Amino acid sequence: MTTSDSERTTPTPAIDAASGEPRDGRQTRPPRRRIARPAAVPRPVIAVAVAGVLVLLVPLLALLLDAPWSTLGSLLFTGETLTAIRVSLVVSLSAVILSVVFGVPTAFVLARIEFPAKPLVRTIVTVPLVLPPVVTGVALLSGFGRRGLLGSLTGWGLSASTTGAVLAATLVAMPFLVLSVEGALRTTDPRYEQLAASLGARPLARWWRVSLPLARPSILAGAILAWARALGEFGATITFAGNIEGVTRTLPLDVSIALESDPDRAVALSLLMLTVALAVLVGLRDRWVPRR
Amino acid sequence: MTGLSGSLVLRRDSFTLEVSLAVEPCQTLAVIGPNGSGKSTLIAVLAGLLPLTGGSLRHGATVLDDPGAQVFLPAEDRGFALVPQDGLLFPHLTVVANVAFGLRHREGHRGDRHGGRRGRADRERRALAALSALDLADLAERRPSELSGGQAQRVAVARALALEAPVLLLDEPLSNIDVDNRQAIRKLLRTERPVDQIQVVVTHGREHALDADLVLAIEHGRALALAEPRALAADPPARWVDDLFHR
Repeated sequence: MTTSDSERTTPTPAIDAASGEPRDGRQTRPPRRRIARPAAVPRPVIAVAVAGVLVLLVPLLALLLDAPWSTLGSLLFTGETLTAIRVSLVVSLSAVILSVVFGVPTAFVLARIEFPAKPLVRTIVTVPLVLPPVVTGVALLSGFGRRGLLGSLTGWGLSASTTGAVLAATLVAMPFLVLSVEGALRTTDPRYEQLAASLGARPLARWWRVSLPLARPSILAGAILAWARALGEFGATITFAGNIEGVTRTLPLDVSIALESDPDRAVALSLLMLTVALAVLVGLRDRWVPRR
Repeated sequence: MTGLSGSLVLRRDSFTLEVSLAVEPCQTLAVIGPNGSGKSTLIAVLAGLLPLTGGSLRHGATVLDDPGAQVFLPAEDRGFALVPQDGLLFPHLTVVANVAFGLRHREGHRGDRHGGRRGRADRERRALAALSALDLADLAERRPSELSGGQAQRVAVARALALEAPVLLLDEPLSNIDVDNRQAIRKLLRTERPVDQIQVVVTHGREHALDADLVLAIEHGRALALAEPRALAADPPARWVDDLFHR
């Protein structure tokens, strides 16, 4: 974007960063002139981008300004809040574990095996990404609710239980893990597994000792994304599992309650979750913003 | 005698590999050829990573691959050792664990698996011994990312030699490494080779080809010649063979 940047990077890349033209192979020729290059992005486009970032930034800043800083501690350390934190941790971590256990094998199947129903399976796995969570919740009621399919077969359902909240969170979180791992698996070198075979490792041993460890960074990144999504899950949870304190009332559900009774507590809870979200971003920084 | 022999046919898309070979125990077969001539494909076929589409391959009395008879022994059941291109050490394992990896699975292969911790300690000890024999003991605890290309290639050769396999397959073990490591690996392959081991090595190097008992020259997937290196050098079947020996 700036002249100093492009000057610093010009000697190394094969494609010139500023002009997009391939550099010729003769590296011996020194850069001839150091004239200011035309900006790669026109000013009006930059202006729109700035406006867009401001729209994203303003509410977050307002949240910080609105925060009841002096009473923050007492607002967060109430029994109600601590219960919501506990439920949130139990639900989101269980959802992540389930997502990893079921999502990793699913990612392997999608990345490595060709079969006719593959587009269908991929759609099933990713549809919760684009589906309104409340619809996911309604679908869960139809499937696993007391009056749904499961209820009509067995007489009991998973709605209005912590298990139900875990199920709702897993459903919306797992796609993140599957897509993250599947993407990484497509770029791993299949020769490692072939080599493991030539060293005598059978298919399951190859998967456990080679494929899985090689996929570890993407599993970790996917798990963090899935956890963030599970932690923020609201619509499917409240629709399917309800809003029962100590059972299904996670932090986001608690915020919706607090907004009506105690807005300061709602802001404090929001601040807590914003902090967690930022921590997730910092944790994934190296993955999304590669170091130069 | 448990030689490696066969007439191999592999048709894939527009490429056809059609090569006959016969290597006796203790012999080294060097495979030479221009890029894209099918050298790596040949190694993959011998290793059991690619099934044949025609012909057959046997090791002693064992049929490894015979599509006509619907026989295919996959890589993990052949008991061979492979040094792939670029060595390909497992990046998530230390050097000693890389060597132990093969020992572990080969034990299972022979059916004399030691249970639990004792087996593991025993494997680590044997892996370390194998590294020491090749003068690599000081690298044992390093990660592959901490090794130079030449060191990594030596470890890859050590990992394959430690298996004491009847057949050792090497795909360009000397490319992309410095002269010292090149000499070291050539020496290892001669001095540390288990008794009777068959070595099949893809190479671009003159010295390495001259080390061999037999040289297979292939081009466009077909064998131009299968002969002793000096005979081949004296009467090269193609210009590039002449270049390889006399440049």
